[in-house]
Order: sequence, then C-alpha cells, then structure tokens
Amino acid sequence: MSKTYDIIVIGGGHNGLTAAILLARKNKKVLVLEKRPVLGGIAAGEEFHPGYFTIGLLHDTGTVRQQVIKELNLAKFGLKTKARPAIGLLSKRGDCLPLSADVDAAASAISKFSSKDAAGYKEYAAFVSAIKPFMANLLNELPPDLSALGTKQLWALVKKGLALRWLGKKTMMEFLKVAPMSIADFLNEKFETDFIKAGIGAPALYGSFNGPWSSYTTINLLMGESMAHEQIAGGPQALVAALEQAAENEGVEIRTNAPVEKILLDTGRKVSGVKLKTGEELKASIVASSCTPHVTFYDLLQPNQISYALEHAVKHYRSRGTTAKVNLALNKEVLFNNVGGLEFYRTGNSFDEMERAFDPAKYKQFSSEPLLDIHVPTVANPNLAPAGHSVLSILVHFAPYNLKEEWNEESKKKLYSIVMKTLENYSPGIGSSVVGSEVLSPADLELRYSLTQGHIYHGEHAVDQLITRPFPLCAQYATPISGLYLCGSGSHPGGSITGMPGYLGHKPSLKIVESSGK
Amino acid sequence: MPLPTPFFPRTSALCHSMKWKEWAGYYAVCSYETLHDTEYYAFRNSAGLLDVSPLYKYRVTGPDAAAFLSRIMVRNIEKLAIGRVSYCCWCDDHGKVVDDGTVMRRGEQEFFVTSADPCYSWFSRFLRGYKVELSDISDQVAGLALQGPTSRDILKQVCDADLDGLKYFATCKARVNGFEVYISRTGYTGDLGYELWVDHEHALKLWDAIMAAGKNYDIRPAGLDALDVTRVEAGLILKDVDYFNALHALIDDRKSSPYEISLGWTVDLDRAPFNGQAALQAEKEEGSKWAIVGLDIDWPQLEELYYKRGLPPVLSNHAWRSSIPIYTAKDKRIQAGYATSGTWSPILKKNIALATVQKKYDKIGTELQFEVTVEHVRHTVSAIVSKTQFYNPERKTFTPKSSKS
Repeated sequence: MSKTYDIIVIGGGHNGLTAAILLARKNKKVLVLEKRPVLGGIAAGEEFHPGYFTIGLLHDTGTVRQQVIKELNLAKFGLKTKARPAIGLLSKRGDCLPLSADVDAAASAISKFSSKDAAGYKEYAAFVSAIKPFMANLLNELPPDLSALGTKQLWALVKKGLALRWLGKKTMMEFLKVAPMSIADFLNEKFETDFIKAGIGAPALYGSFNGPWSSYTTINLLMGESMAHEQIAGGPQALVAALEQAAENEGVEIRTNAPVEKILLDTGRKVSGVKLKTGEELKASIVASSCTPHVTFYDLLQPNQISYALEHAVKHYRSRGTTAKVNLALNKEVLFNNVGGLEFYRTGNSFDEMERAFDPAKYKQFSSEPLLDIHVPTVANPNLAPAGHSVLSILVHFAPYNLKEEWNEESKKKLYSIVMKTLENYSPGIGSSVVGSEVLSPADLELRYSLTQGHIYHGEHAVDQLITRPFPLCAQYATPISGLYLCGSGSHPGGSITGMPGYLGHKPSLKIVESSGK
Repeated sequence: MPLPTPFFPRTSALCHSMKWKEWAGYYAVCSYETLHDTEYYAFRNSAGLLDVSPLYKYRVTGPDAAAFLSRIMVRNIEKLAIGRVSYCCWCDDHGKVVDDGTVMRRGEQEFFVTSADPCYSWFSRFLRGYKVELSDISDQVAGLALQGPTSRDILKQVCDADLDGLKYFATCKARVNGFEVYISRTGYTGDLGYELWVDHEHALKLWDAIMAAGKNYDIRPAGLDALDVTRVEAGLILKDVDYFNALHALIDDRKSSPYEISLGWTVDLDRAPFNGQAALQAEKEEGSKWAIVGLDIDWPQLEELYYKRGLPPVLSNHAWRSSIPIYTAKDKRIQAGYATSGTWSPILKKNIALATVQKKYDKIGTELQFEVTVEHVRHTVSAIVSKTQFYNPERKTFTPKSSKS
C-alpha cells in the first residue's frame, strides 16, 4: 500500500523546506523528498577533502529574507544572525579595500583611495536605501498575474506602480533611468577607481549571462543590494539546520536518498503522487517542486503530459550555467593583498577585465582570468579545517556549462590551474599551501544538485525571467498541471539563498488544499 | 513562382485549357479541357487521374513512432493496424484544429502522413522524449489519385497488388514494371479510388503505365475543378475553405474544434494525453458551438426567383467556395450560420452546400434559409439540413474478396 500525503515537496533545499514547514503548519501532512543523503541542496555544507568543509555551494546568506526567518520562527531553532562582514575588494595593484556593511565605515575606507568615490559611495548607498520600499514590494510579494488583465490583476499592477511613484519623483526618475543601464555605465557615473567599481558591481553578473557592459545589469545589482541584510551565523548550512529542526517541529516527514523518478498524474490529468526511482509510489493530490523548471516539466513528467505552450516556455527559459566551484584546503591562514581575517573577497579589478572574463563564455570557453567570489569559512568557524589550516570556497565566473572541449578531468584541471594562477595575483605562493582541492564544473553541479545546465540560480536572472519567473505561464507558482506547484529558485523572486520562492510558493498550493476541504 | 511536379511533362502536354493554379507551391491543373464536366464524369463513371503531388508528406519511423503520432493526432494511432490508413486531424493546446490528413501505418515502426499545410514545424515541436525520426519527404514522393468505378480494374493491369482484397482505408506496397509504389485505398472524391505514392524518379513511368492500362477503361486526366465538385458531393471538408488552420487564424473565432467541423468521430479521448485533450474533453461535456452540415437547397424556389425576372435559373459551372449567410426559417433576420462551399451536383441533380451552423440548427431535416442574389437583389430560398455525405456509392467501400490477413 502506498502512503498518502496532503502535499509532497520535491527537493529538500532551503526553499523546499521553507514551503514544507509553512504547509505543515496548517495541519497538512507534508512529505519532503530529497535525492541526496543530506538536506540543503546548494545550501548544504560539504566535506570536500578529509577534514575540510565548506558551508554550502553558495555562501552568501545576506539575501535570506527577514520575513522568512521571522515567520518560520527560525531563531527558536537556533538560527543566529550577525552583521554582514566586510568584503575585501581586491586590486591587482595590491590593494584590499574592506567594504563594510556600514556605509560610513565603507566610505571612509574608500576615501583612502579616492574622496570622490567615497562621496559617490554615500550617494549610491542612499539611492539603494531610497528604492528599498519599491524593491521590497517587488520581491517580497506574489508576482503580478499577467496572464489576464482583470480588475484584480490591474490593481496589483497599480499598487506596484504606486510603490514606484511613492519613492518620490527624483528617486523614481533616477530608478527608471538607471535600471536598464549596464553596471559599467551606471557605476562609472559615480566612481573613478576601477577596482572599486568592479568590486561593487560584480554580484550583478552572478547567475546572469552578462558582462559588465551588458544592458540591464544594473537592475540585478540593485535587486541584490536591496536584499542585502544581516548574514546568518554559520552560513547556509546553519540555515538548513534550523529549517530541518523547524520542519521536524511541524511534523514534516523528510526522506533523504529518495530521488523522484516521475510525478504521477491520474486520468483526469491531475497530480496523484510521485514515483521514486526505487519504484515506490507515494500518493498526494498536491506536489510542490523546488526543482528547476526544466527538471520539473521535462524530467519528472512525460512529454505528452505538458502542453505545447509549456513545452515551448521551458525550452526557451534560459539557464546557461556559467559558474564553477573550486574548494581549496590550505595548510595555513590565507592573506589576500596582505590582508587576512576577512570572510569574503572579490576580484574583478576593472570592468574591462571583467568583460574579458565573460567574453569566452559566449564562445563556449572559460575565462583565462576568471572573476572570483571568494569565501573563507574558516575565519568565522575554524573548526571547518584542522587547527591553523583554512578553507577557500570560490565561485568561479565564467565557466560555461556547454564547454566546447567538454567537461572532464582534463578541462577541470585546466580550470583549476587558471584559478590558481589568478589567485597568485592576490596571494603569491598560495599554491604551495594547498593540501587538497575540489573542482566542480557546471556539469558536476547539474549532476550533484540537479541544477539544469549547472545554473546556480535555477535559471538566469534576466529582466524577462524575473517577476514573471520562470515564465508567465507559471509565474504564480501554479502550473498548467492541476495540483503541481513550483517553489524553487526558478520562481519569483529568483535564485541565491533567500527562502522567498518557498515562502511565497507555498501560498497558492495551500489555497488549493484548503479549498478542497481537507 | 510555383514549381512543376514530377508529372509536369505529361500534365502540361495534356492541359489544353491552359487553366492552372498554384497549389502548395506547385503548378496544378484546374481542368484539362475548357470545362471540367468530362473530368467529373470520369471520376463518377470511369476513372480520373489526378496529380496530388503537392500534398505535404512525412515519414515517421522509430520505436516510438506510434506513441509520437498519438500524442499529436486526435486519434489513437497506437491502435492503427499495419496496412491500415487513418483519416484524422490534429489540434493545438486548446483543442482547435491545425490541419487534417491521413496517417498510414506501413510497418510496426513506420508511418506515412499526408497533410494540406506544411506540418514539419508543428510535428517537430513534439519530438522531445520520443525515439523517432521525422522527415519531410514532400519533394521526394509524388502522388497520383486514381479515382472512379474502373480504377480498380485499371490498377490491376498495372501492378501486382491484391486489389480485390484491399479494403477501404487500407494500404499496401506493390510493384509496377520493376519499381515500387505504395497504394492506399483513399481519395477525395468519395468514390472507389486509390492514391499512389511513388519516388520522383519513377513518377512518369507510373503515369504512363496507368494511362496506357486505362485506355480501355475510359481513363481521363482530371483537374482540381472536377475534384472540387466530387468532394462537396462526398461531404469532405477543405482547409482554408470550410475551416481554418488554428495556427493561421487571425482571430479566435476562426478556429474550430474537430467536433465543430464534423470530425468529432475521429476524436479518441479516453487514452494517454494528446494535444488538446483537456479542451476537447471539456467541449464534449459542455457541447460545441458550431457544426458543419449539408444543405439541400430548394430548386423550385430558386427557379421561381429567376422566373419572376424573366430569366432561366443561373448556376455556376464550378463548385463555389465563398461565405454565404444562412438564416433561420422563422426569422430571416436571424443568422443561423454560413455556407462555405457548394456546387450543383450533376449526378444527384441537386443544388448542395456545406455550411457551418450554430449547433442548435444542425438536426437533419431542419429548414433554414439560404441567401441568393438574383439580378443584384438579395433573396432567400429554403435549404434543408442533410448529411454532409450527399453521395456515397456502395462501391466506395465494397471489397470484392475479404482478405485473409
């Protein structure tokens, strides 16, 4: 006899768990299925070399939304937040600028390089803070439904328009002007020092198929900045640990090592449950998938179970992975441009060099000098490596999924040596202290985390793939398949560790279970 | 500019009328003689040979070929037996008809599909997940329709197939003077007839063989004008005339479901998902808006209208295909629908039409009003709703000997 649940959540990442907790809280019988032996997905910590650990594939937890933490009561389950630590912006000349979360402290650090840039930073920070109410409206609420334009949908749009207008005329006009700009054009207006501009702008390129001169990258930057908040102490894996406890507390049943083979539909084309790779069938009239749209619709359903409109939308939803991961185990504490003790560092150096780092991705090659997003988890938690040793968790941009020479041990070795060569610019001799390493290509990320084309955000952050994310047909978390919902990073408001797709995504499925009178 | 079909050296030599039209990018004969009457009577009384090469033709092969076609077509192609032909249509997501055509099962994993519109792009959208190969063989395979009461006897002289055993909507492979043809007992005339599919290189040899064998059976080359009369008599609908391809419709109202164009019988709902299934299921439960019906237009009333103006009744020599308003019998201000094509049927001696009417007027025997214009003045005459299949001779489906397969 197969077991019956109210809701089955596919994927035990932070979004899947968030949705599961909120659904279980309404007295629903919820099951979470995770294919890996550990929960957390891209937020799971990994032992990549005996005795050396990372705290997640992605490492920035400053994007986790406050309302998720609050509503899930995560503090009760051991979650602690801390002020966002300074990020070391590195230049090839040997500079390291600690960009603190505190605007005045950051400006004063910048003033050592340029007083104009210090003033520019204050202006920039003031603008980011001014547009926060509008960005919050955009990112923290259900996306507008553009499938039909009735009174209800128009009103939702009007409210968004008003939120923009309420920023004040000056801020609104500035926002409308800069949002479509490239970060290079936008930041060139405010800053003069190359490596500072590059360092501030870099996150806009993460998870997008763009270089700094690509248009619409500013909106990505502003979205990221608007989300930036306190960090979670212990990083992504600490968030997962708290979510796991909260889930347990709400009675969510969790099964790891339980890869799903298919979502099952009954003859009326409604969801009836899932079939595991082991052949076991589990019943539920609602399935919430935190997998990528491609995995959900192409892999977990039969081709004839989706309409042509959906087939087309999934096919053209862009998720060209361009990020690789390099984890390094070092036998000492590391310095970058002679500065140590920071948790985060960014390379970039200048827009031209960033653009050159992106260019090869278009031609299926990886950068000869990639843009590195470096995390040193051992600064906050020395226990992640043997005493006196350290760990570097590096997100490498740009390394395309569809590499011309294909991803294999040899191409990964090449990428590794390029990353090490790049690191030498900032930390001479670093190679000699490496005792262990791991290189994860986009192809590896796809295999390990079921990330389509290894895309860390379940799909590119591009203007047309935000808000009505992943595509208008499924922008409200509901899908054309009755009983199937989305709650992963492929949905609004998008990727990185926010918890929002799970938080917002649980609402429509909940409405359905409740209206069905269960 | 249109292209010549492989039969052009023969058809162009025979086409004394010089009446040609463009059909799917090819030159096609309207009528070989000035008037198409003799060609029409060949279809009905002896045999007419029509070049149907402009039809679009596809080959679908592979282990999932049947499942792939079943996902696209409204009929369950998995149930189609080898050697059988299925007439069917295919729909978009909303259950609106994209095109209609035939699917022939030549083997366990081999199908041949004909269509009126180019469909490679549409079919190829559904290839993901199926182990099939889809190829457009439109410009590799020539087609001939040999239609009429003597067609079987002619074909027997030409090829080695067991034609007496070949049932209506069956297909087989045959040899003609050292080359291969596929024969299907199908056609667009509603009479006994066959369609022959042959590689381009053998096309002229096939034409010559059939014309030579047909000499004693009064065979005639026939054009599209004659075909048009026979297809209305047979109640066979025509895309872009009696309905529109949903993908090309400028407005939703121009789209039709299979139920609305008399193809409801081809829809097999109770099976694995296929394009438009949910919408078709809903329409079946809730009812359709429109229906295609036959109209038998009253002759005495029409004659009377002309007589009043001192004229003999005037009818076009050709089948017509323009939209004519149809009104209710009770109130001529209420439009019940519109006729889309029609003809004077020489064999039935009737003025007939195919019309799209609101569902509530589709019962056989319902009296409606058909608009006619006599000397620039609009009138209406009575028209009785009838079966679309006005002409349906026994020989169309009769098989002399039942094959022991």
